[in-house]
Order: sequence, then C-alpha cells, then structure tokens
Amino acid sequence: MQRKKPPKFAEKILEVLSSSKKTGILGDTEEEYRLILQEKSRIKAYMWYVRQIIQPLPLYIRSHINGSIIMFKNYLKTAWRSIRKHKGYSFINIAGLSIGIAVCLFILLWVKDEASYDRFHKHIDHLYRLTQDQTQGGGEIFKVAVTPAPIGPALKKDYAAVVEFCRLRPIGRNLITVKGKNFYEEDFLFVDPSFLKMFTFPLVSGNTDTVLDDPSHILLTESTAEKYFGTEDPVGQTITYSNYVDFLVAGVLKDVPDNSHIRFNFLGNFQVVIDTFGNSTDWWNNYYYTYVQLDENTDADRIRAEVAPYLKKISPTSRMKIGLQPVKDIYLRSDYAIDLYSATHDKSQYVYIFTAVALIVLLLACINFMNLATARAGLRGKEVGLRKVVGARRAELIRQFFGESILFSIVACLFAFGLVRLLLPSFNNLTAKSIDPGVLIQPEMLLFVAGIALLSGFVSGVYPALYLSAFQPIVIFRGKSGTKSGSALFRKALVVFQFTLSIVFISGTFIIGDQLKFLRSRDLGLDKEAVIHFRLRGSLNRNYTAFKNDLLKTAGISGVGAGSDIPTYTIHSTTGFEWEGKDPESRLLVHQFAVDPDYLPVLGIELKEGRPFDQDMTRINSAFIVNETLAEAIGYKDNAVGRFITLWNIKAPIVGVVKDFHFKSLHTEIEPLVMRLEPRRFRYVFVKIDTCDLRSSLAAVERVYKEHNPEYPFEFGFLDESLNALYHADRRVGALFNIFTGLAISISCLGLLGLASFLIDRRRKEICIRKIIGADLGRILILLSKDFLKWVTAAAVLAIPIAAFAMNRWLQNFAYRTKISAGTFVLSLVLALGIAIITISYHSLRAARTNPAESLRHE
Amino acid sequence: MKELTKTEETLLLTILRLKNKAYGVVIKQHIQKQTGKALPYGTLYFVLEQLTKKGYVKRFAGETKPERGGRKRIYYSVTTYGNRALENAYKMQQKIWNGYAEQTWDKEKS
Repeated sequence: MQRKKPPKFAEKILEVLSSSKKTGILGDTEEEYRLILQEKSRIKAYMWYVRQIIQPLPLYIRSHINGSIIMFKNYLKTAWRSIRKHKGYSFINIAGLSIGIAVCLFILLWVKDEASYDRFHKHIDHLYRLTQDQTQGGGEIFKVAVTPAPIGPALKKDYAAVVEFCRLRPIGRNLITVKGKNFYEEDFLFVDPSFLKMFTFPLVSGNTDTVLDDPSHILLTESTAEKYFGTEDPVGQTITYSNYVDFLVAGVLKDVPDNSHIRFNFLGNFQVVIDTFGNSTDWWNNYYYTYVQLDENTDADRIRAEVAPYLKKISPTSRMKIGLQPVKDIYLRSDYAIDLYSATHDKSQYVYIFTAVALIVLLLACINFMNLATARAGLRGKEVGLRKVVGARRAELIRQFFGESILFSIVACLFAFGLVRLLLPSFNNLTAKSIDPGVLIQPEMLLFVAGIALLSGFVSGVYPALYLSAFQPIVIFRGKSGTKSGSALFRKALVVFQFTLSIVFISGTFIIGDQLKFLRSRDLGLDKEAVIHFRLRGSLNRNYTAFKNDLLKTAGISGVGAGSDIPTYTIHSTTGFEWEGKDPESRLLVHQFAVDPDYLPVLGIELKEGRPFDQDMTRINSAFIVNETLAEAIGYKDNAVGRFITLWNIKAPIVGVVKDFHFKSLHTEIEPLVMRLEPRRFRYVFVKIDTCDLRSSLAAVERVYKEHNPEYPFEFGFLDESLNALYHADRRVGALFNIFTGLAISISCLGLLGLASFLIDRRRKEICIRKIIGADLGRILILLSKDFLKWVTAAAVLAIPIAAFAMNRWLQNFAYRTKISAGTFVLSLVLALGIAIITISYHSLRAARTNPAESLRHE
Repeated sequence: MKELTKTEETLLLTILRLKNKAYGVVIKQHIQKQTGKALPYGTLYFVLEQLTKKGYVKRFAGETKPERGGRKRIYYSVTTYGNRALENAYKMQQKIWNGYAEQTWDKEKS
C-alpha cells in the first residue's frame, strides 16, 4: 500500500515556520498532497511539498527581522549601558579579548607567510627536488638534499616524464670587482640554463630562453644591479668574480621574493662550476642540488618507484636511494641535511605549535568573559527576571546575551586590529619576516577577523547565555542570587584550566631558557675563545706557509691553523671510505676535513691517543687523524693508531685519535670524522689571538694579511660568535614563547582579578563581621586567598605532566639537551602562586581594610 | 486603516466569493484558476495570518476529514471590518484608474 502521508520531516518544518497551530495549514497541505499523489509520482508530490515551504522563506525571514529590530536596538542599548556602568569589568573583557585576537592575527600572518613559500612558481605542482638517503655503517639513514652531478641529465635522457632538470650550486660569500672596486657579496647561484624555464623568476631585461646559455654571462637581481650601477644600464657591464674570471651582465631579474627557499643575488651558468670543480660524471660525490620538472600527467610516485632499479642499471655499484621531494614542501617540511640556507629541521611543527598557542590564548580570553559574566550573574539576574516578567522568551534572552558577547568581541577585534598594525614592525623584527601591513586589509584577512569575532563571541557567550537565561524570576526577586552551587564549581574549573595553561607556558619558558643556556655553555670539545677565522682567498692559497710564518712572528698572535671546514658549517662528507674488516655491502658516511698541523692546537682540540700531524707541509695525505666516534664505528675503539684506512684512493695509517668535539650544531649527534693534511683544500684560516690587547692584535693580523693578499679586503669573524649564531632560530622560538607566556599569564591574571573582585564583593559583610569579632588583617587575607591558591595548586598538578610531555617533545630537536629538572616545575608553581597572590591581594586588601561601619550600615 | 497589499486584496475577494466554503485548499485552487499563478501554502498562510491579526478575516473550525490526517478544516470568512477595508481599496482603486480607459481610447484614435 502506498503511503499517503506527506514526509514527517517536511511537515515538522512547516509546523515550526507557521506561527500558529490553528491555521489549518498542515491539513490543507496534506489534503492537496494526496490529490497530487493520485496523479503524479511520489517524488513530484514531495517536490511540490517542499516548494510550499521554500518559496515563502524570504517572506518569513523579512518579517522576522522586522519584528526583532526594535528589540535588537534595546539589546544594544543595554549592552552599551552595561559596558559603561562596569568600566573595570568591560576593560578586563575587552583587553583580554583584544590581546587574544591580536595574537591570533599575528599567528595567522606568520602561518600564512610560512605556508606561502615557493607557491609563486608557475609549475610548482610539478617541481620536485631529488634527495638521497645515504646508508651509514650502522644501518642508519643519513638523508641529504644533495645529489651527484650526472643524475639530472641521466633522468632527463631516459624518462619522458622528466620534462626538465636543473642543477644548482650555491656559493656563499665571495669577492667581486666592479669598475675597479672590490666588494664581498653573498648568494651566488650557478644553475643549468633550464632554471628560468622551470622556476618563475621573472626577467626585467633579457630573453628567458637564451639569457643563461653562455657560461660567461651573469644575471643580477634588480637591487644588486641598482647597488652597483645605479641608474646606468647594467646589461653589457663587466663583473670580475673572485679576481679570476670576468662575467658579462646579460640581464636583470626581479628580486627574489622573501618567500623563496632558493635565494640568489647573482645567477650564473652551471658550466662555470663544472669547469672549476670538474667531476661532472662522478656518481660518488654529492655537490649539487638537482631539481626536476615532471610532466603534468605524471604521478611522482611512479617515478619514485622506478628510479631505484634504473639507477642500479646505469651505475651498478651505486647504492643510492633517490627520493623526489615536492618543491612546495621543501621550506616547511624538509628534514634533509645539507639543505639550502634554511636550517635543516622540520619547521612545520612550529606552524602547528603556534597555531595551537594562538587558539589557547584566545580560549583563555573567552574563558575570562564566561567567568566574569557568570560571576556577575547576581547583578544581571534582576534584569533577566524583569525581562521575563514582561514577556521575554528564553530564546530572546539567549539572543540578547549572545549579542552582547559578540558586541564585546567586535569591539575587541577593532582594538586587536589597531594593535596588530601598531606592533607589526616589531613582530617582523622578531620573526625575521617582512610582512606588509597591506595584507591586513585583504578581503580574506577581513573575513578571517570577522570569523574570529563571531567565533570568540559565540564561545565566550555560550555559557552565560544559557546560564543566565535559565533564571527563574520568582527565585531572583525573592532575594536569592539565583546562582546554583554547580556554577561556582564551573567557574573554579575555568580558573583551574586557565592556570593550568599558564603554568604549562611558564615551565615551558624556563625549559626553553635552560636549553638555550645549555647550548651556549656546553663544552664543545674545542676552545672557541679568542679565535678569529677568515676565508683563505686569492694569493693566500699559494703562499699560505709564508703568510702563516709571518703571522707567527707577530706579537699578539699565539697560533695559526687552516682547514677545509669551520665548525659552524661542515659540508665535506663522503661514503668513499674503506677499512680493514669492513663489510663490503655496508657504507659509512664520514666527514672529512683537510687541515694543517696547527688546526688542532689552535682550536684546542685534544688528542686522545697517538700524535699530531707532522709539521712538514709537503707530506700530503700521508696520515689520518680520526675522532673517537669514527674509531668506534669501524671497530678500532682502543687500538686505532697504526691501522690503515682508505679514503677514496688514499691509503694511509691512523696516527692519532682526537677526543670527540662538536663540528656541527648541537641539533645533531657527533658524526665520524677523518682529518688529513692537504693544503690545496684549505678554505679557512684560524688565528688564536691575544685578547689582552684585542685591537692591536687584530690590527696586526690585518697588516700581515694585506701584505700577502692585497687584492682581497680583510674580513673576519670571532669563532664563539659564529658558533652562537647557529642557534639563532632556536633563540627566536624562545623569544616568541616568552611573549606568548607573558600574554597567557596576563590574560589569566585579568580573569583572576575580575573574578576576585566579584567573589570578594559577595563576602564583604562576612569580612566585616569577622573584623568586628577580632580577626586581624593577615587572617582575613589568608581566608580570602586560600580558596584561590588551592585551585592554582590544583592547576599545577595538572600542568606538570602536560608541560613535561610537551617540552620533552621539543627537546627531541636537539641531539644534546638539558635535563628537565623538578626544580623548574617547583619554580613555575611558586611563580604562578606569587602572581595569583599579588593579583588577588589588590581586592582582598581593599576588602580587609574597609571600615566595617561602611559596609554594614546599609542593613 | 492601512492600505491593503495586492495579495491581501486578492485573498479577501476570494474568501468573499467562496462564501462559506472558503478553506485553504479551495482558496488556493480558486486563486490559481483566476490569476494563473500558484501561491504556495507558506505564503498563503503567512498572509492569512496577517489578515487574521488585523481582524479582516476570522476563522472557524469545520468538519474533520480522514484525507487531512484527521485534522479539522479551518474555514475563513471576511469580517465587517475586512469588508470596509475592501470598500476603501475599491474606491481608491477607482480614483487611481479613473480616466485610464478614455486616455487609451484617445491614443488609439490619434
């Protein structure tokens, strides 16, 4: 049998929409529905029914708004009066919310900027970088972002899906000569000509297809061109690079956007690198970054799966594992060693952490609102009662309280907007970004702000709206406050929650501080004080020995050493390393430094066993010195001296073992290291100077330098400062965290302040009577604070495990880390208690000091 | 007394015409037949409610029918007050339309 009744659901809607049950609309619709059903299909009848509801919807809405606009005006007026009447309360609410929203906005700006990296490339979805998983001795994987030179061309040749490849070789600081003047410049990048086709770096002048084809050409960015040539046309000018090769400026590029992981000021042809370093067919060394562009219809996973067997075919001895990393993930999610410019740890976690922090701070502010609104229930209760008596329905009251909280949050949003605009420069400074204030008025940003206003208004309004609107007029007017004991518990729970988060933040700040101090003070196994370092350039490469001898003759200089690597930036590693008893299948990635005999003493690296290198600089590669880690890795823990090892094709004995020292940042573990004597590879000079008379010592070094190397200006760094700079990013996180902690605490305190004022107000008479009976000030203060302190302590109990867990996760970023001590948590608790006491004491002192006659005479 | 809207006017006239047979389904069908336009129930009852509130029509319950899901028919009739409103509307209408026929006649002649 066919069902004759119209759908229940639609009927329900109709019932809600129609204002009265007596109209007969349900009966009429059902009657006609049956008529239609006799002639047409069920679906048609159903559609008809729905039309009956939907078509007049605008009519309903319009009439509804018309009806409530008068009440809305009244709500606005009441809200405004309430704001003005309770200025302190309003200030706390609006200030708290503004801070919360401002933090949200800042973090949104930051996250947006972080996520925008490299998105400006037209082919971004098809660009990948080749990466490599190198297997180390113990089977661990060492992931690097660099790959051998021939892999790009090979892939392009044999894979139709690989549309284009490009190799990059960045070169750091170097000397350039423009019109006879010398300058040190950063950020040289040598690339295959396909670079400009794959990546979107627009040219200001020149032709994209051909401008990079000639190895003698170089491209400048706009600002670099302006720096050297001003208003002149830079195209056609000559730049001398590193005193030995002339480049013709062939074109000018737009400046590299800040949100690009590839950075350069000078762009040259890759052939230059090949000509200088050779080994363009060498599968063993990884000097280059290789990018590929895949065909639009190609699935990257397919290529990933095919590459390994393919490589095995063309280079049977190779055990490389090549990966394809999407370029859009490089900045945020790369955890490869030897990466371009940016630090090598995964930054996406900070995006998550800070987003969470922003939401927490906003939540804290919303809790304040809830807390204060319910605490003031006694005051608002009468209004609610009166409204109900004159006929307000509960729904209307709920709407009123929501309206009020949304009004608050809109006002707070406006303040937050101003705050963000005002503080944006310092924010940029702190985060090393350059966010333009213009983004604040982009439509999506405004939409976001509106969203936040509504959301925070809703969150902070939901409890008071439901709670206050449920008051019964009769109870209120009979003189009871209308508050149930349940709500007091709820308020306390909110305070506990706020303080839990605050204590988590406080202990987090302490632990970050501890770790930063640890990074600064850890014994690195080398003596970083009083050592300056500079690059070995120009003619110093040829007459290093003479230069060294002259330096040593100078007063104020106690040692001179040289090496291929500086402990802040080590890039020479290889798997071309063999030893007796090595499993032929396994590979060990070792770092290798070329050093002169005085490298070890100047840097204060101690020998554990054996002897240092011979002073005779002609005995190239005749001996190796290794670190403890390497000796252990190859199984010669205590008897390494005298064993023969082979680096590439150099076979020589180990003459000494040095104690482990940190030649990389403390983020990473100490890795195996081989040192050998090969003056050709020296890149840095280290000079130990006398710090008693720093100025004259430095002047002496410079004088000698100029004698030997007049064509390169002298510039140097202090080793301890350079080492410290390794933790820039960590310190920045620390600084940001400090700020968030400060904000979280101040918002919580604002909340506590407001709450204390209301709770103490309600006990005023009790206090006065106690005073009359003879309680002294101290006793009353204890009485008033006891309750709060109990809850703050409870918060601490909750907070400690959370903080311990979270901070432990953060510390995993470092291979070497401080211990989280119990003292930290005790200190955080004491601090939180102290802050709470001070906050409460403002009100409790006032209450305890009032003259009892003042409070009691109203009875 | 507020001026009647076009829909209110149509509804009042329909109810008047249908005498004592005026309930939802019939009203709706009549209007559809006369004007050729379908008036959804939502709108129909929205306007009927307004007319009831203003006192132009009043409703009374009729017989219970099984095809209505056991609900009573609700009949509507125009009150004297509603009649007066219609009268006013008619007079106003006449004043406004006065002379329209002659003018079009003139135009056609020339």
